[in-house]
Amino acid sequence: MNEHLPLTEATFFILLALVSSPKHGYAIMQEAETLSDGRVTLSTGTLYGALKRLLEQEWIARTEESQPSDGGKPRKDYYLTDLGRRILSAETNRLQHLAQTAQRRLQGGTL
Amino acid sequence: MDDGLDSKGDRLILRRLIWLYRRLLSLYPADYRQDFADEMQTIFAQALHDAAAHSDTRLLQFLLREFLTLPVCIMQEYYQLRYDYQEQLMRKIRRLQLTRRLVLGIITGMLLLIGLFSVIPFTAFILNPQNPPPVEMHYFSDHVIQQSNATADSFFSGEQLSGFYVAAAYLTVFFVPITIGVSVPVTLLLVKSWAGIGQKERRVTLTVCSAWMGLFLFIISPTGQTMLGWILD
Repeated sequence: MNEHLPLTEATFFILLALVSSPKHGYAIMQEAETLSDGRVTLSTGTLYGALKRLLEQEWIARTEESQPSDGGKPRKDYYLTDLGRRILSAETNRLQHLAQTAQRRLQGGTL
Repeated sequence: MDDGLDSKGDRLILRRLIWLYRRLLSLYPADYRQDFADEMQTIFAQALHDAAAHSDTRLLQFLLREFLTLPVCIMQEYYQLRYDYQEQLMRKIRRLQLTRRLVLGIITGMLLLIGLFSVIPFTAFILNPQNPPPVEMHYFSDHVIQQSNATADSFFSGEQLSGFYVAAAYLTVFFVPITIGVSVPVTLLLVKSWAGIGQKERRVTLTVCSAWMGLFLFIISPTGQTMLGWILD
């Protein structure tokens, strides 16, 4: 599991955007921007390049085309697989450990 | 519909931008295009309309981001494609190397066995030159063993021999060292690479080697009897 870490910020926020429910591309883009407080703004090319690699690694999967409720074009949704969820969890733990270590050092404690 | 776009002209520009984006998407590798181009175009159009409805600054930022990153993304996909192709090629080469080792190992094994059996009549003769192997101890046929004995007799007594017998004698004398010399390194190579090969390949190797041994023990018969019978005799 650890050989996949650390994740890039874009990958981290894409996976994080899919935790709550399956989403289509544009929703992932918007969710990633919201979750990162506007720091991660993905272009369409960057998003789909990342989605392609995540699909190949089987961290996410794609549903068949579904008809959206607003009557627009049929689209494919992406969702997090168990493997993707485990990797996201491992990355979160790693970041948490880093932050705690830095926090202790900054507060003058010993490691 | 109030989407914040002021005029027909604005809408035409957006349509042109979508058309341009679609053209640029055709630069992606074919597989990628087939999988994602439609979705990407839909999302681009949606995001473009949202940005245009928000403000001109937002629209400009969006366009810059999209059109500046797209060539980089396209190049990345080609690079990835090339990397995947190289990986596939390396896997094929590794598989070929394994097959070559397997074939080499089997051929060497065959040579070793043939070498061992061809030297038997001569070994008996070398150990006791005055007492050549009995005719009952067949090897290939009575005729061949008689010829072998005669060849060995003449060879070791320094007599002039015809080309065929000289070749046969030399072959016999040097065959075993050569086959052992070849088979030992090859066997070591096989053993060394054993850990690195997959379970399927191991199974194939074991099956082929077992079949080869079985063939020798139970089917091939230099004297009309099975090798197992000959060994037990």
